Amino acid sequence: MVRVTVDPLTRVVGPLRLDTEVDENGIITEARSSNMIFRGFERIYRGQDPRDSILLSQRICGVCPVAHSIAAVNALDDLYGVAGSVPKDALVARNINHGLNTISNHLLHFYILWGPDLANPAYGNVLSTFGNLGSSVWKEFLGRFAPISYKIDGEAIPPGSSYVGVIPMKKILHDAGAVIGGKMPHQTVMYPGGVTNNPTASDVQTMSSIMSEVVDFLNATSIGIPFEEWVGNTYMASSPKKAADFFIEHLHELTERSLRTNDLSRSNGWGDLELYSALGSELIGEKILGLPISLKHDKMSGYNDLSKIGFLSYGDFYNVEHEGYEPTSPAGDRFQTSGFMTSSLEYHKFDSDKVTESVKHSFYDDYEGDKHPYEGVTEPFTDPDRIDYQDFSAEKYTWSKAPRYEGIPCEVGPFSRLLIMKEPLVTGLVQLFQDNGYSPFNSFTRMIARMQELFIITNEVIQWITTDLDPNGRFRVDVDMSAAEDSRGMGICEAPRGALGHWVITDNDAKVANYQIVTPSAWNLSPRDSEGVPGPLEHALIGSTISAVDNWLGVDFSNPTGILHVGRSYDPCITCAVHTIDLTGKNPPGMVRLL
Amino acid sequence: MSEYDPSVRIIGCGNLLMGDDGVGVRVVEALEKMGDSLPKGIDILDAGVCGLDILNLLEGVDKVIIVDSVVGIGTAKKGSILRFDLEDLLSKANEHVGIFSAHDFGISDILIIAKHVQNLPKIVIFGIEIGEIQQDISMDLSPEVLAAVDRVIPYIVEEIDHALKI
Repeated sequence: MVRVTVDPLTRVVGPLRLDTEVDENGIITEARSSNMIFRGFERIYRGQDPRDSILLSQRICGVCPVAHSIAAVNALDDLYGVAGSVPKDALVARNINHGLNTISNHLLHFYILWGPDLANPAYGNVLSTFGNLGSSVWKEFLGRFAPISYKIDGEAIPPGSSYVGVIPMKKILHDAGAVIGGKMPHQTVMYPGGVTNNPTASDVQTMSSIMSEVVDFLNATSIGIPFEEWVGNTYMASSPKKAADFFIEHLHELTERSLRTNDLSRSNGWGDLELYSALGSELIGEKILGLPISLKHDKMSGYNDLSKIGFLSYGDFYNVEHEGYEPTSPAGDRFQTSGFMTSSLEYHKFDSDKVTESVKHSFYDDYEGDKHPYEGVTEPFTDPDRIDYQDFSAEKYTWSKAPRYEGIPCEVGPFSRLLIMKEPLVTGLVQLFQDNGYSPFNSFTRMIARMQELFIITNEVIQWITTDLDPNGRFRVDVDMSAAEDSRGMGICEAPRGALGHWVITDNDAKVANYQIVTPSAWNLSPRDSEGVPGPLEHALIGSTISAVDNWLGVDFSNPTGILHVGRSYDPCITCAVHTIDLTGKNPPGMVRLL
Repeated sequence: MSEYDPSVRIIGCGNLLMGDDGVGVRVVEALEKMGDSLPKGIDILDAGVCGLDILNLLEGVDKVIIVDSVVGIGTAKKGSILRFDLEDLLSKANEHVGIFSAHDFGISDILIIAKHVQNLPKIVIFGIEIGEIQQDISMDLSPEVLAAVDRVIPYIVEEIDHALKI
């Protein structure tokens, strides 16, 4: 039994520490996820004007500030009793704003935070044992996904074309966020009852041209067929089976065309998504397409006890067919509908009263059992003797609380959202994996879902900008400030990483008496709860292999690609979620590192 | 920007909550306080730890001056002030190795990315040696680093003047 701890040492954002126990066969047998930073925003809001939360909440996260402003403004719409009367145009403007941020996030995650793992030398070692095809695949991985300043065995590797190509997209999406949001980051436009700015015809023009550039990037880099054709045959397919068939058929064609020549280049039709789709999964790559090799990401993080995991979506993006919205997010009223799905794929309507949090293993003062966020308390505890990183069942080990839905830990994020909205491609792939005896909940399907959501939201945002946004429309209704006296409000939405909720209670002065925030990463990276049940990531790590491609070349404890891929597939909301401290790479003398 | 309308942007980087790491932000705060005694046409920004967003700030000006904390320049004492041109910094930063640091963007990483994706203005970096990476939350600077805030200002003003006399 080997203890493998992955703990970053960074200065930026709350690092994630993962402690695992690995047996001699390189299988993870135990895992614990620790979030190592205290935020405490809820405590900052106490006694403040509730409207401050729109601005302050954007400081919670530098990657998805817009999602926090949406959750906060939803809570305030509810608090002031105006959710039912927010004008349609304001809902469209909020959707565009939120959608742009989601697109930017997914691009950033796939290409900057996750993609470089495909250029991990461990994969090079495995692929090199597969002749010309293996070398071609490795060449594509390096050529597309290598990060900057990257070296393997002392040899400098030029940065990947996709890695470098996505950065200008990130920049222009940032500009678009400033156009619709006043400035970026820390936007100023969200306000209960609507938005404070009226987008002009020239804003619409600017955002449209930015979205055209994004589509050009997707066409040139991410997919080998036109974006519209992809969306038309997957997201708009008439059934899940049709979508999955199209996906497989498309990969078949590419494979047939390339196997003799081993040409997996872009010019031969291989976009990044096709490359990963064909090679990321054992089922699709080896069993269906007949390739000799795959990364076997579908064998990682399959949840070994299906009674202890569910899938949750609060639902997101306003329905712009009518004014106002229902804060509790009833099924069917949102473009991405709300719901809870069991691991046996039974759908249940979402009921926000079933959301609770426990703190038994979190660095907060204990309370009995689990509390709904309206009753939530966030009191950091002060007894260091109760911190224990050695014993996996021990007292307290993280700043994350443990959110549960009817007592069940839930995976949240693009995969859960697309599953619950019955998106054809993801639904079809889940079916395909199940029919072939694989857990459909794995690192591969999670990543495909994130890319598919990127395409879907891109498609919707273009629609909202070019068709639905009316610069001459109404963008706000007046708010009666006294409505916040002794009131409460719930704001739920879907951040890029998953379900996000803000709950606010005010006193008779209309000031905040209690504010609770439950983030997507609290769901995904949750610790054990009051019953000792592990959170989704902890659960997903168990049974996964520690080294590349199912420990293909044996077990390498110093390069735990398994942990990296499982952890990062959740897009943990931590800029440097999982680091491996590479002791061989100590800074050479005279090295300058700006902090 | 045209040659008749030169412009300078000063960007302070760092985390105010991490003691000496916040020195870059402290410097731009001190510059802000100088108000009218600084020439017109300059833009002073606290960029915090905003990562890739800095790329958007490297556009539309003739010169960018970045102020940040530095660790580990061999024998430099705490509070030393170092001036780098972009190329110096990148040739040194390039020695930094490793796939795993790809997720932890320091300013040198951002500038390397910037080189690949955009045309850059003239960039000068002032680094203030802080000795070691802080582990504890604090909003105070150590005495040596605090003294460096006052000492670096004249150098920055000189850079500004130099840039405006194009």
